[in-house]
Amino acid sequence: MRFKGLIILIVASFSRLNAQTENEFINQFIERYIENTTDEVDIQQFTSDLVIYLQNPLDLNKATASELLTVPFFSSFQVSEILEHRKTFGNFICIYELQVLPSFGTEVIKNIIPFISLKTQTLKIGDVREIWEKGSHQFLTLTETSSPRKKGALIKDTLTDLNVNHYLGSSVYNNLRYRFDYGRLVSYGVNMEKDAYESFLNGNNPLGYDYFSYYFSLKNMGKLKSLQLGDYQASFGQGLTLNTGIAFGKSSIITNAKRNFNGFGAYRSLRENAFLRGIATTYQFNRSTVGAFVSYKKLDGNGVYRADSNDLEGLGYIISTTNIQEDGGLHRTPSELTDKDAIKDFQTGIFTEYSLPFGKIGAVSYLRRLNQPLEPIPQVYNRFNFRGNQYLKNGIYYDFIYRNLNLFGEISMSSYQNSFAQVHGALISLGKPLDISLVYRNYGKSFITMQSTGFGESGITANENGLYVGFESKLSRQFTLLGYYDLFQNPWLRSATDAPSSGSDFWSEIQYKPTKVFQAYYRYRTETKQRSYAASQTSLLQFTTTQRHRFHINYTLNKGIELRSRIESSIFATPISRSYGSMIYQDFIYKPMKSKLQLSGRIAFSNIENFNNRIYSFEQVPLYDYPLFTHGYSGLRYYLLTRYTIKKEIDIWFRYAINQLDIPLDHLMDNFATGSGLDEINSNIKQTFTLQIRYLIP
Amino acid sequence: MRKIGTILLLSVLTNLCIADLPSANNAITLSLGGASATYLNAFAIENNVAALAFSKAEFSLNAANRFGISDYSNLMAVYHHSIENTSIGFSYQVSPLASLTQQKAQVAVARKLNKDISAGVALNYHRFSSTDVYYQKRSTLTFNAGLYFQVNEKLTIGTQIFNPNRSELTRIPKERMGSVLKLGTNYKLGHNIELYADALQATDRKLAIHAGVELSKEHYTFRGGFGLNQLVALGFGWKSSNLKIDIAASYHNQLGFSPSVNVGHAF
Repeated sequence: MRFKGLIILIVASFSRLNAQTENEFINQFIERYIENTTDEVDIQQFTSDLVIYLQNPLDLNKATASELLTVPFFSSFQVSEILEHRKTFGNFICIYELQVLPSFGTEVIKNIIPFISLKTQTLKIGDVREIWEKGSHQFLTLTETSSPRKKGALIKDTLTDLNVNHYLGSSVYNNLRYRFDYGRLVSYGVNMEKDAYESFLNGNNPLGYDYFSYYFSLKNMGKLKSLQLGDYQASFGQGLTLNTGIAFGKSSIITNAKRNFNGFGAYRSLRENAFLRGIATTYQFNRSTVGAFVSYKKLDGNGVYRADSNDLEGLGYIISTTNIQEDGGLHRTPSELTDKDAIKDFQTGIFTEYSLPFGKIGAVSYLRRLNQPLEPIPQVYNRFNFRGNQYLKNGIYYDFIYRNLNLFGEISMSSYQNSFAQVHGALISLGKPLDISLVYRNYGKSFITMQSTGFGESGITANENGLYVGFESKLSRQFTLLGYYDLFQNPWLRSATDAPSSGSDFWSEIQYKPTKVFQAYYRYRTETKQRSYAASQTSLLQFTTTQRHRFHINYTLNKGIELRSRIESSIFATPISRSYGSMIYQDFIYKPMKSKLQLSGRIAFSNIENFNNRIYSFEQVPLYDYPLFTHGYSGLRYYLLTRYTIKKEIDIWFRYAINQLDIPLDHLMDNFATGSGLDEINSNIKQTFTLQIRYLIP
Repeated sequence: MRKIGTILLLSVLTNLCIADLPSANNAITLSLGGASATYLNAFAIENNVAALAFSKAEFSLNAANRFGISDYSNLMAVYHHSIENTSIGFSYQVSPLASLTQQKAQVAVARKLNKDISAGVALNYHRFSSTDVYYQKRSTLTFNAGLYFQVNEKLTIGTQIFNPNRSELTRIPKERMGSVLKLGTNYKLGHNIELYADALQATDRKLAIHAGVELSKEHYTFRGGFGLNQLVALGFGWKSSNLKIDIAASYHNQLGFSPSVNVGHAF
């Protein structure tokens, strides 16, 4: 009876929660995961994974440990607590019962509510007609263009000599996507994309789009745990041996230091080379899981050609490639087109996992063969980089949970120079007062970085060792303190660093939430690295330090209007110079309940002395679109996003954004241009228009 | 030569425009180091127009000088009146320099959206008269819009944007008025101690931080503040039931003293 009373109280406490939109539920995760990254993260795949749970919420009472661990919104401890609670008290009576678990506070539950449920319909794979009738279809198209057009497009209009490198297509970006989902059991779809300035329905793309991707995914059909056909991704352990999917770097989510990968999954993204193509399957026998995959596809590569006397007009024959572009995909110019599909890529591998009462252990092995050798242009810093056309990677990984301790790790060996990489970590939960994470990594300088996404300072899983300590402490009802400290070394040279180097990264944030309608945080980050400077006479390497201060507040005026304000500054210092950057923005978000129209906008001013002082900010964008904007200039940035729900099934997003760079006084009389090369635009103002339409057939 | 001269003049004009935007000249704002986005008085028409909605009706005059240079003087008159939840305000200011005279007239309206929140907007007319034969006289319209939010009994937040559309002064070459976005906060430390802090980003300027403290004792008020642009300030205020007098002086470590005085009548 007391327990039921507690539940009623908890439910009552949630009754005043504001209704959040699908976009916001997803954006809150994306923002926290990617906020510290400098690399472009695959938002589409991450969003797709979350949308599946929005449309088919995870059943808290029926989900297996493996399913719970795979979702991006639960930490290992939360999963452990859910399983323990189910074991001790039986099924959850209502979702808010989660609040009795130490790792779940009001804010956490509020953020994950749309992704979980207790009353999901039990679907089974049986009759094809039933699958078709009960499944949902989604059509989505996004179109974007910017003004003024870039120099690469203007060349095409004004020059008769088209031998000059130029853009072949219009400034319009477009993608078209279709997907079908039958719960989380059956899924298939097609994705197509034309990047801005790529040709469409002509030239190299007579079928229209430059990129096509298709997939079919089947899960949990008896012992067959997974079958992937077409394009798919493979992710195992901590991402050292094989991960073709996304992996986030350091962030305010301290448990993010651990990867929760779970084998094969459908590839729904638009990164044009970052997937496997072929077949992958997984079977489960009691506690054992085994799987295998085969993939064959073509990759973009920067080919080195040998002249052929019989081919006077052409390039000749490719003999090697200086790189392979696993995240490439721009085919706007004749020279970019020569790189397209230049390399043939064959991969095959197997994995096995064994479940234990307190976790799991696994092993993965795969072979990759390219039809031409990879031969990077020789530089001292890339002396240990992989060279050749075939490699093998083997890894073993583990993930153990015992009470409030989670141990995880992976050891991997790549065949090139028999190099090793290893990562080992621990998450320790001392209840609400304190969570701690520790991660040690040691990535050999010859370790093959392709399709590896180990946790670390750089996005490269090689030539780095380090120790990371993260913490989160609930100081009181109103204050939370969190942060990390990361020490790292690079045993060999890096680009722009002509000697072995070291560095540190300290990040801390204090959050203040006095009321339900107001929250604020202050964040400080200081990162020290060594770099080579030509001007330096005293030593080969110099320490550079980047400090960042951020003050951010959110306040809700009423149930329909929310405001967000941010001030951020950065200081970049070397022993001989110091530069500053600052940015301030004001957001307005209008999302009245039950209204078909939602609006959000931003006014941002920035003053950036040096690109090293650039400041990133997260913007409201249409679902699936990339939300991180780089303030790398001094000037203004405004945007307005509208979402209109015509019917329950049809949503339209329209976004207008404008950047205006400050013109230096000595350029007042000139035609001021921004950008460089073919990307140059003859203006200090750039406008971007985005339209997205989604049609759902439930 | 003419081009260089024009650019130099533009440079001076731009600097003056931007320097003038937060109008740290009135004695109260000056004495708080420039932190004024949450201060409640008639000068809110400049500092954060939304705060007018929570301010008491008032007519005030301000006379200020910058750095002891006679050409750098400023006179300003403000009036504001409230009817229920809506306030209207007017201001006029003139900065008579030898080579450049700036005049600015404002009309503003602010409204309480509920017991804790207000919003406001002011329309500004700027006129610049220069002795330069090329420049002569220019005028333009700008606006500023703000929000004021009492989070709880102790904490208040204010934000204001000035001239987001970057109004044009001259077409060729394209010279525009600067824009400013600022965010301020007020925290009541005790019964008679209040802290103020503003962050302000103007186009083509570094982030500016201003902070000040105000201590009140019956009819008297003491204020002190600083700006990270090497400025410290002190001020003193006295008020009776209707009359208010505030004086302040700031010191810049390179440019020297700037005095300011307000005389106001509350209704």
